[in-house]
Amino acid sequence: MKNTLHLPKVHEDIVDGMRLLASRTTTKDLVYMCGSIRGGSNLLPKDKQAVAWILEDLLDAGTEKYTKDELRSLLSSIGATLSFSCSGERMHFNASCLPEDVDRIVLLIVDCLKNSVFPVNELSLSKKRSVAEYLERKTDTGRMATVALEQALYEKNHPNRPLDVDEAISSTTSVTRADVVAFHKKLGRTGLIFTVAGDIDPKNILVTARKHFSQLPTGSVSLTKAPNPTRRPPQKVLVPIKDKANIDTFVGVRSLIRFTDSRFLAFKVLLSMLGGGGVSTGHLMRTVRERDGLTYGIRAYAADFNEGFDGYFSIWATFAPAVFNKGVETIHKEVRAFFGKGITPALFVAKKEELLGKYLVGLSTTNGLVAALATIALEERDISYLYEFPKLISALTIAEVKEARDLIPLEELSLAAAGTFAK
Amino acid sequence: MKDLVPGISFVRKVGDIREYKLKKNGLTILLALDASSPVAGIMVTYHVGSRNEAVGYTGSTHLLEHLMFKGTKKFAHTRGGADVLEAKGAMLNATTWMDRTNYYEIFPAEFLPFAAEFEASRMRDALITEKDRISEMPVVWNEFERGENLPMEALDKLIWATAYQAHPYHHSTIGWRSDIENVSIERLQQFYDDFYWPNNATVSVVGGVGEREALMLIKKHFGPVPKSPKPIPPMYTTEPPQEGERRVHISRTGPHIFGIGHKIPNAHHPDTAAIVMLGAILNGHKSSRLHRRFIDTASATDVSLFAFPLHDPGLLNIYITFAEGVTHAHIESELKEEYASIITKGVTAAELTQARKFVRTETAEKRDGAYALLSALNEDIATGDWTRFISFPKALHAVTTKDIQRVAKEYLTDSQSTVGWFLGKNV
Repeated sequence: MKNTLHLPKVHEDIVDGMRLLASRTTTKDLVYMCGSIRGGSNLLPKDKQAVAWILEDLLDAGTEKYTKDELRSLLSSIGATLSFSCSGERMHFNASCLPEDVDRIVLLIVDCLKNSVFPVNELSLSKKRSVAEYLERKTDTGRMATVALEQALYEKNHPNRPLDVDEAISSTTSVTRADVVAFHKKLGRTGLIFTVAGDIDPKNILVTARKHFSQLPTGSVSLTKAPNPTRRPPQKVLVPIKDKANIDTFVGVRSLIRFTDSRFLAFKVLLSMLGGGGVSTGHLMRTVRERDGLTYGIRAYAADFNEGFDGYFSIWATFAPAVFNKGVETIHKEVRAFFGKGITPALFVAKKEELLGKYLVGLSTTNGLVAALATIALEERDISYLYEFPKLISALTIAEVKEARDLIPLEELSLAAAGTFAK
Repeated sequence: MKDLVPGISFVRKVGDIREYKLKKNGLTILLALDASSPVAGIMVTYHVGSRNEAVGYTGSTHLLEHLMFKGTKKFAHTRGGADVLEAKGAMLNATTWMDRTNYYEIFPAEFLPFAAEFEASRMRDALITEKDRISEMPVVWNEFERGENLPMEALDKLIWATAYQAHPYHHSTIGWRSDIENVSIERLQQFYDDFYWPNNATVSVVGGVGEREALMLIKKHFGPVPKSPKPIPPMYTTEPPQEGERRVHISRTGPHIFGIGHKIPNAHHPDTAAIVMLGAILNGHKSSRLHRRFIDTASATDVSLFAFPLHDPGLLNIYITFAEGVTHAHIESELKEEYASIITKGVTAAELTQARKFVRTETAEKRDGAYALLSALNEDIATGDWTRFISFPKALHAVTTKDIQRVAKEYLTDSQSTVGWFLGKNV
């Protein structure tokens, strides 16, 4: 394939514990930013994890300089968006704006991260909203099945084990302002990641971003100690929810590796051959959907690798209640068949070409580029990885991909599903 | 003026988009090229959607769209060529909606020749068989079932079905389950033979390819496709006037949702720009009125507003998902208080400025790569006038605070509304 070297130029600044990446794209009037600082729910005891989630919700609810309404009016008046989210290890931010407002948005991000005041009334409203959202999840088949799978895969105190709805509500209702303030004091610039792409002058932006983010305190967040990865015995968890026409179904197992593992790339390619891509290039779509007509969609994916812990492998599919059992049986049968004889040299070569094409297509948008840069930074890779990735894919051997099957022991697959099950 | 490629006439240039017509068969061609991009995309938009269906074959446009991936005479064993393109890393799919069906592929630019050949083959030579209908039907069922799992989608279907009694916007694009199951292959074939012709389609090419090269490829592959032997069947049903408010309820496991749909004019009506700006002021960002009223006060967990400009008069829909302890009546009363405020006092200049800024960023987002551009262009093609892609942002910028107050008064009325309550039940 031609054009594989037609990749964007990225400017980088690593300073004072911060990593800043910027790249110009040809889309006019558009700038996307994303980034994060260390400090997520894993730093807290399980029953206090909601402190991080509430803090995230309140970061733009008023600062020493601006009230909540002033902050929002400021953003709206320039057509910009800014949102925060929280993962296990990090507090993330995402923003979009017009080119002339980048500096102002970075300052606002810094203001929210550093000077939030967490008004008592906003804390109360945030808790009320959160509890309402958790209660809604009880009837959401996708969310309930996801939590069920991850609880089946991870032992009680593992950072990746999510709280169930009742635990999350209990944690949320117990949050006090003092908890939020104390947690906020730990956050800072050490480990900060900032990526920006779009209609920008990358060099200038890195200079101003460095200046503004340097205003953040150093921070005192230490990374959560990763527990020794082990697998739990396989489980089957069915979450009954009335009145549902469709059952969200997950089959998965822990990989026991982290993204730093030398087998990670082969593992991802294996998953793509098994259940990635569209109808044509994933084995599960070709068989469970196209051949058997059992589902509208099925895919295999890797999850929970972002925080430095071992992540897991999963297959997600949706089935009507009447074909649920057959669907699950077929998943197992097809994974076994694929692992047995499905990884052929021809399919492997085709998959590599597909991934290279996808990479080029993905990086051709501002959004795709900023997301790719953020992933590189989160995985603590050198920026050369952006350009090396095609070479790494090309160099991968079929033997390495076959070896990655060992990361998915079929006899240890757990099943989690939510919906209305046929009697 | 001499044609750049013989047999293809230049029609006009609006903004940076050039329109051509393939003389022999009436195919409309749109080019939005960027030679610097390593990526290109092609899309064929057919002017057929669920508005062209009737009782007994609702969902046919969508089911047919699925069957269009089962192969063509030229590419019988590779899903009509989709297998080949997907293996090259193409992002490809098709979507069906009320006014149109589109097929698209985004790929490294060197694969445009194959993609053009593939799409041309699909236009008249698709293999539409009973065997494939039987195997694909449960797949579409499951797509239907996925939608039924989502309370807001279920309520949305009910509101459209109640707001529209005669016009085919009455039924959703996925169709009624029994129609998906029972529609015959002959009916689907007839649907294909009625609507899949070059004179009922627009081919759009974007990204890293030269103009002459793109036109040559289109001529080579789409040129031999004949125009329809008979006129494309018109859809002539109009919705009779609504004479009073309509109300519907669903009682099902899920959260509580209040929904309301207001009749609005079609995409080309002079009021459409003001209605879209009204929607942006009501909802869409954290300073918008409904976010402040419902989310900031923790009365609700989600507010969604849709005001899609369509080929025919459509709906402005608002859905508010709310917590235990709040009632549908309370949410409705609060929403209508917000309406009354705009109708009596108007919106502020600051609100209008904010909405204009968001229009600018949204316009930019529609240019972020081949997919975004094709996807946005597709919706304007569906209205019957693709130049809206260029002209509509300007129309939005020209909207005044008085325009917004006027359209709020004219369209946010009880008598032209359909109210839906999703009465959520716990697990």
